[in-house]
Amino acid sequence: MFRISSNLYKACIYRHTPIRYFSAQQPSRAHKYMYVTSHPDYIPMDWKSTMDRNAQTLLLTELITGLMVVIGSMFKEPVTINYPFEKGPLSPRFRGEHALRRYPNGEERCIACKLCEAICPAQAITIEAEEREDGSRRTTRYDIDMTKCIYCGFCQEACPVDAIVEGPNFEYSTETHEELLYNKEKLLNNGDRWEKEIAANIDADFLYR
Amino acid sequence: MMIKTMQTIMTFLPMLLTVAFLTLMERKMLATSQMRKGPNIVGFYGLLQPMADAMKLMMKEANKPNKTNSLLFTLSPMMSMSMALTTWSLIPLHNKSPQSDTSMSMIMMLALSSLSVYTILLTGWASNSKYSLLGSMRATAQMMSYEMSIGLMMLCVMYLSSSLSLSTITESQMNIWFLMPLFPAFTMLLMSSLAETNRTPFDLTESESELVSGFNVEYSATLFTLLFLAEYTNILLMSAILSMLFLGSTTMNNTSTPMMLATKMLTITYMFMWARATYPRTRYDQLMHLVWKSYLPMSLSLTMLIPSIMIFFHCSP
Repeated sequence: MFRISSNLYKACIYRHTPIRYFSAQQPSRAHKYMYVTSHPDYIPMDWKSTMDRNAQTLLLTELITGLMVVIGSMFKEPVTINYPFEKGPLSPRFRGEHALRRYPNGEERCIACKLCEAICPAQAITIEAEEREDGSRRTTRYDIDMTKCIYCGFCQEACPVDAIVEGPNFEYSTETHEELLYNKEKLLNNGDRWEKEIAANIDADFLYR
Repeated sequence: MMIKTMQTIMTFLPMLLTVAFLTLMERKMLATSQMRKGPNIVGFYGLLQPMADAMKLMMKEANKPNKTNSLLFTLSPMMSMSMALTTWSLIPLHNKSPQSDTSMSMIMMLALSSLSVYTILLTGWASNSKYSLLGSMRATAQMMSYEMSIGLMMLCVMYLSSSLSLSTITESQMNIWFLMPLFPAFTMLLMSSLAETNRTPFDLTESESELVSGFNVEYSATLFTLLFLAEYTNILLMSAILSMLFLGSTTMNNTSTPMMLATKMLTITYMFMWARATYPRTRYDQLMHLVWKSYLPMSLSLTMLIPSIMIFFHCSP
């Protein structure tokens, strides 16, 4: 069951045709299991191939080939970067720390439509909204639990005014859990701090939005 | 007395330093072959990394598992380290002042290297842990099997120089290295010494996927440092033996300098590391197959072939 029958083997050898161990078409005499590379039972015992085999073994061809591969990779440029001093490139679509953006005149963009809250699969966003004195609709509370967030980026895709975005910052580890419960103030601060980079990223990606 | 002590210190201190930097060399070498950078923070380009490692290891808490024989547990790493260093005293680092070169230093060396099997067995057994025990049993079986063919291959060298003293063997290689007439023995001995020192293609002793880290799992702090140092000292020792038996030791172009031995030794040590960077681990049956069914018949026939040729051509020295 596990082996190709010897008759098939002999037939193939006599006809000088290569055996297709791995073919798209299932042969009519369907054998379920086949060796993909070579058949362990079939070792050609003629003088030439025996000599070849022994020479390969005694001259350690395969072992030396392996050593040469290693030597080759020694002369390649290391892929390591000295992380805190060097940083890898980031895509403009990189989804890092969240930020709430403002318009150039300083007015916050968020209109408390709660689309982000609705789409958030981890339910990490909590929004409460009220009418402001000037009659515009704004949030009174905008909290993101960064420990719940799965950084899927749905919030920034849902946002109609590009208010909530995930910026390029990924270095904001803290020592306590509480520090990762971001409120509106923290998010707006982030927006002010990273506005240049965030704007550049949005610009870079405008074709695909 | 004073001179003897100084001589001992002058042999062992550089030895220990070499072993320390050998670990760094290995890490750097493995790193470059895997396109990494390796340790590069401590000191210039990570040169002080071995010191930092040693400091860290020494400051760790010395742990001992419950219900172990504490005498054996503490004694066996010390034994393995002292065994490895004692063998170094036999090696003629300079042809004028061998530490304790006797006419029988080859036999002495074989005896000492066989003894190091016992320390590994003891470490594994004294740890009272199944992983250690399995690791040490594997190591013992492996080292004992390979020692046999290593002994036979060394016998070929002894035939050619008709001497058991290492300095005489060095002298008899003034004209031609034994690498030339005994090339098959050299390749076999190189690979056997990988097995003898439990290095990578044959490191079933510390197959970390099955046995965590083999016979030294239960060791920590200073005792682990000793085991670790002993391992690397043995690597250096095996490469020293190889370069003495086959590469002409301190001789080069009819001159003799200790630096030559160091160069040859480090070349072979580099091959040990190169093999570690290249090959995956063999299976246990492949390991045993290699020594009992390939190396032993080959080395046995060499031990018959070499003297027959020498007698046939009347060229025994």
